[in-house]
Amino acid sequence: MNKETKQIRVVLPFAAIAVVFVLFKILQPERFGTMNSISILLQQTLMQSILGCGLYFLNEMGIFDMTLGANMIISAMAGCWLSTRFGWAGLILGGLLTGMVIGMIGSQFMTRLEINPMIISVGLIIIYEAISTILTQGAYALQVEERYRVLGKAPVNVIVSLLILLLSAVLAGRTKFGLYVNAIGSNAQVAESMGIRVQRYKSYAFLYGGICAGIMGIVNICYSNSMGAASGLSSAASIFTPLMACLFAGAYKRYMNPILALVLGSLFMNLIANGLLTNGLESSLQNVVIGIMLLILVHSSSNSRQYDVTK
Amino acid sequence: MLARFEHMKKYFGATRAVDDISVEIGAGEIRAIVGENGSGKSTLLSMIAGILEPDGGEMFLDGQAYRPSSQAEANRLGVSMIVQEISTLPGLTVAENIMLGREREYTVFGIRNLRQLNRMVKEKLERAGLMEIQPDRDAAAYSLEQRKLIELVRAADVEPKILMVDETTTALSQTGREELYKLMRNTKARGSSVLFISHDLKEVLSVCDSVTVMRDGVLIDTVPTEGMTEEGLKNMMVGRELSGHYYREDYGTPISDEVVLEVKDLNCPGRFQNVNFQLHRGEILGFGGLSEAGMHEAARAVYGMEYDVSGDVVINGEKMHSVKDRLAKKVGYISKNRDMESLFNQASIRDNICITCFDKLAPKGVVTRRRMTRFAKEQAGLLQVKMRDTGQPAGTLSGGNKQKVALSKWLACDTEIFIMDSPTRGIDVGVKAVIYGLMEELKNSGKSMIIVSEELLELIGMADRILIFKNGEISGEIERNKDLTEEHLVQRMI
Ligand SMILES: Nc1ncnc2c1ncn2[C@@H]1O[C@H](COP(=O)(O)OP(=O)(O)OP(=O)(O)O)[C@@H](O)[C@H]1O
Ligand SMILES: [Mg+2]
Repeated sequence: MNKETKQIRVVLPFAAIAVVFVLFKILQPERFGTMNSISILLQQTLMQSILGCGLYFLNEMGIFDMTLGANMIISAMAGCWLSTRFGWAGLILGGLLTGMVIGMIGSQFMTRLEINPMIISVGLIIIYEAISTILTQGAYALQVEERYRVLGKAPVNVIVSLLILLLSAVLAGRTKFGLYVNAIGSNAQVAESMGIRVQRYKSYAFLYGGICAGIMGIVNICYSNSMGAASGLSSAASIFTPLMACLFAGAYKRYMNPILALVLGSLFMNLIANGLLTNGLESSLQNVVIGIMLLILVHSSSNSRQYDVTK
Repeated sequence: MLARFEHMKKYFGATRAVDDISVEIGAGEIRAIVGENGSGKSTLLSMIAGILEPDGGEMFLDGQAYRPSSQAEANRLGVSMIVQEISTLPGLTVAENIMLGREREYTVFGIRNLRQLNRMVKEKLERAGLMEIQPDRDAAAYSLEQRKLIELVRAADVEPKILMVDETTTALSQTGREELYKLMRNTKARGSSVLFISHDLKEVLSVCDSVTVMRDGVLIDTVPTEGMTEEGLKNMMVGRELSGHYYREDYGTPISDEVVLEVKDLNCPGRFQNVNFQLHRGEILGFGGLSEAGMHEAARAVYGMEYDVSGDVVINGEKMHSVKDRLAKKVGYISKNRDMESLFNQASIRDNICITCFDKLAPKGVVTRRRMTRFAKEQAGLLQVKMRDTGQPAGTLSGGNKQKVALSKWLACDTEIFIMDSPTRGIDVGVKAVIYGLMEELKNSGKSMIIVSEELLELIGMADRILIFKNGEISGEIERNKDLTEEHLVQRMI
């Protein structure tokens, strides 16, 4: 791959975001891109990226763990419930530990059973969603006390998100963990024979996924004040955007730090969703457009032709 | 005595890949391991290297019990191996590949220092004379040969007590081979030992001190190479007298005037330039050259698999645009990179062989399993593929047997023009003779072939014409003749 192609590809996602932004601004100069809506968009993108970070390492090793959405909901609820007894510690430690425990449960199932992770995911999601319904105890949703809500408001939510992103970016690009995740994703068998403990690194990734889900849960319930129960696999649908952003990050990791790509991918999709909404497009059509845009973006990144030739 | 391996066993289901083998190896000894395809050589070495867990047996290194749990541990204990297949990981940089498992050496407080890593590896590469390989580039960007050399650097870097090299020479050009021999000699000079698997008996006799012969998973004998002949080794390997000729013996046979394939001004920036040639009906055209001479890429381009290629490939008067066009003209291509580009490793041998022949097997669109099995069995039998049955996944075959399946695939479907990159890579002497015989038959029945090969003797023995590639261009052409020698070819290549 020559330098120029690489540079073009690095610039591409930024350019795509700029173009989309300008386009919508021209279409809806009044309603789109106000200070307020941009601030919300950025906050949501950043918070969503926390979950994306959790998904990323698993994804890179070929594990599609769809339970992270349900994990986030239960962690939020556990934190919320514990906050009524133990205050701040209950909220934060409760949410975090719940996320980790659920992550480890997933890890045990997925690394020990010889069943397709997709099927295990669905099974676990059904169970977790039922638990979330039980936790709300018949009410529609659980609410956090007002004093905790600062966690979900700017700038705290932004700072927390940025810290997680930074940590993940370092993990992915500069640690043994990130390197081994790459190696396992490239060829687990060869990696194993080189002495990489494949199972162990998969467990680490599950644990990290759980931590991210826990943090996301806490920030999220504080941001939106309440957390509702999920049913009918709706929690899996909620991780659609971060999951897509992850796929994009994976395809783009040879050009930039994958976590940066993840944020850009997620911003791109949220921007389009937001723009389409202000233009009054109904949500199912929105998804069609997002899907197409995503395909184009991922295609452009995997279409580095010279690179794909393994001589 | 440096190491001792006693009663080693490894079974795969009913296959006794290694069946109670005991060998010893002395310090400073270069030991060859030879045997037919599927005789258990790679399996034996993989156990020593910690890649496979033995089903039985004991190993001793320096008089101590030696039981590696992984390749990385074996490395630490002073045993390293260059495996038969490619083992660099794409997606990781060259430097990361070379230092995999040794991150501690460049990690401070958990953070990998990439600059230090790349500097370290750059030095190692330079010491090995591989200036053109960049430590911070993705390993996938390099050719098969370069990736083998990267593995070489990785294996040598730990200064092993036992260095094992599995069937690597046929992937290397003459220059790459020199690097390999140098590494082996250095290892010997340090008082360490080398275990060397090769199918090239001439090479075995010239670089090794002693040779262990295996057959069907058991040990036949270990003998010093001094006073041994190629013939003698061959007979020990096969267990019977081998007779008959090897390469073609005809000279001066006229070639048809009919041009079946013409290549005009083929260019690919950075890989090859101005490639022009014609392939005649019933002709065997050889491509020879040193590493990075562009011959492998040019062959791929003729088949339409390289990117950014300009120029024309014309077959039977028609210009080709895609691989599909070539298939319609019954062109077959065998890649040097068999695991990535020639075989479906997860699929059965049957599916691998039948995939090119569905038109023939199922003229009405339907084919029975029985029919496919029978067909695959027939084709596999032709090249003596050593397998359990045709349902066995191709990936579990021994290296040479994989190559045979890759060849069968194209032989089976009445291919008219073969483009074969290193067709006999990893194939034992007995079956090589069969393949050369087949090539001769194909030639006589009017099929045409392009053979790209690092094996100079193969080119001299089989080709009607040899095109010499140098720095991405065809620098010369040599007609088939009796007096052609390896030295002569090498001189034209440098
Ligand atoms: N994972 C596996 N599953 C089943 N059979 C296997 C597996 N690995 C090897 N074998 C079988 O074990 C036997 C010995 O294979 P091995 O690779 O050791 O042969 P080899 O001597 O290295 O041959 P070659 O010269 O072709 O490389 C073969 O019959 C092969 O099919
Ligand atoms: Mg082998």
